[in-house]
Amino acid sequence: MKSSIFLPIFVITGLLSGCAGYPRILSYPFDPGGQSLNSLGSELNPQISGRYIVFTSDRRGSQDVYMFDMVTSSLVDLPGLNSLDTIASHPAVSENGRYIVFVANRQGRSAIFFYDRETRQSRNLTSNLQAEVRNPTISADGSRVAFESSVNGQWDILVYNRSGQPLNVPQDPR
Amino acid sequence: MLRFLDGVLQAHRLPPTPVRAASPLGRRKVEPRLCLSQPRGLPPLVSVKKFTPRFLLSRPLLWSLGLSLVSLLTSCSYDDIPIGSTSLNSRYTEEQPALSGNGRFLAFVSNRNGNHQLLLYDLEQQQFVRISGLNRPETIAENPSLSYTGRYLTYITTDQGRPVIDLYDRATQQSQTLTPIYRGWVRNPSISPDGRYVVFETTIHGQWDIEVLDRGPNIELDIPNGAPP
Repeated sequence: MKSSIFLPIFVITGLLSGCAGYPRILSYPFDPGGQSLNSLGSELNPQISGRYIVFTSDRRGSQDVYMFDMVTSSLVDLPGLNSLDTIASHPAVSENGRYIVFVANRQGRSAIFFYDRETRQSRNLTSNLQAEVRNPTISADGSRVAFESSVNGQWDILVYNRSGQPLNVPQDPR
Repeated sequence: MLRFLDGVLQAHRLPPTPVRAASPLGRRKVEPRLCLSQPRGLPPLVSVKKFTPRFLLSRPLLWSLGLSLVSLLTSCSYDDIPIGSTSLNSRYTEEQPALSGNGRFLAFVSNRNGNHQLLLYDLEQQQFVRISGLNRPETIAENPSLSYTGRYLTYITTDQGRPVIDLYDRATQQSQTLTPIYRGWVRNPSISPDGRYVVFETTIHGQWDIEVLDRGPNIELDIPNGAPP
């Protein structure tokens, strides 16, 4: 009989401690001026890796890629990544924040671009792929890139290494 | 299929139970006879005989029915791994790729085998990895994201029609909902390589914005071997 008292006590203490705990939503300051994570514009396709969050936003009138540093709570400059005649979407970043892959749509063609923050250069990984591409992702160690391609008349997944060579993955004989 | 066959075998293996069930019956049969031998015997003895065959059959029948139902139910759960195929792509749509932090695992959504399912592929072993309990028949999983060694997998699914972010732990082979009481539409979750933070799109401010969810300092982090925590 006495042991039956302990059960509700345990339940209540568990519930009470659970209310103050995790998981919880972090609040980063909202900045109408566009210097923080969220702004008056829309923010799309976030991807987190280590202390960095990359996403696209139309806060300056065109859809561009931004990178937010969770430690310093500020945006990180990405010189040379966004250009005026390009829509950039679906960014993904490596854990050290050095490499970013994204889809760039320019002159009616989409391509996967690989941006190196140290050299400030973007390289086209899919220049000899005559197909639509989308949804790129990069591993946290920056070694591999995977994306969707329509080269076979449907969406299939291709895996490349950092230098743009396709990985040897078994494919069904077609 | 194997599970189903096993279930059938179990159902066939059942008949030994009547033997066990028959032994108490025997005793019961004896008891009425003993007491019946003192007053007039015959009419109640007949009624006992009518009673026994029903009892003899109903017990094992109920058992076999119950067990076969259970085996049927378990055999109806999804088989996660595409049978006989080690190919990453199929003749159906493969989309939404997500690489694990070390680049070894690839999670994606595929339409093969006639249903929309989330699959996990090992690029080193070049085969699929079993993620049991993730794909459920009454809902779909979308937008996968993996932690460093692929231990944690976040994805979008629905809970009674409401989109929620679920986290699958490959160590415990269980899913938990990270946003059970979140009021808002959610989309595109992404988990940090160590597994502590999850970012996602939310409509809670009247447009698509980004929310960061902290799973807390007490979770088991998914970090590479030898790395300082």
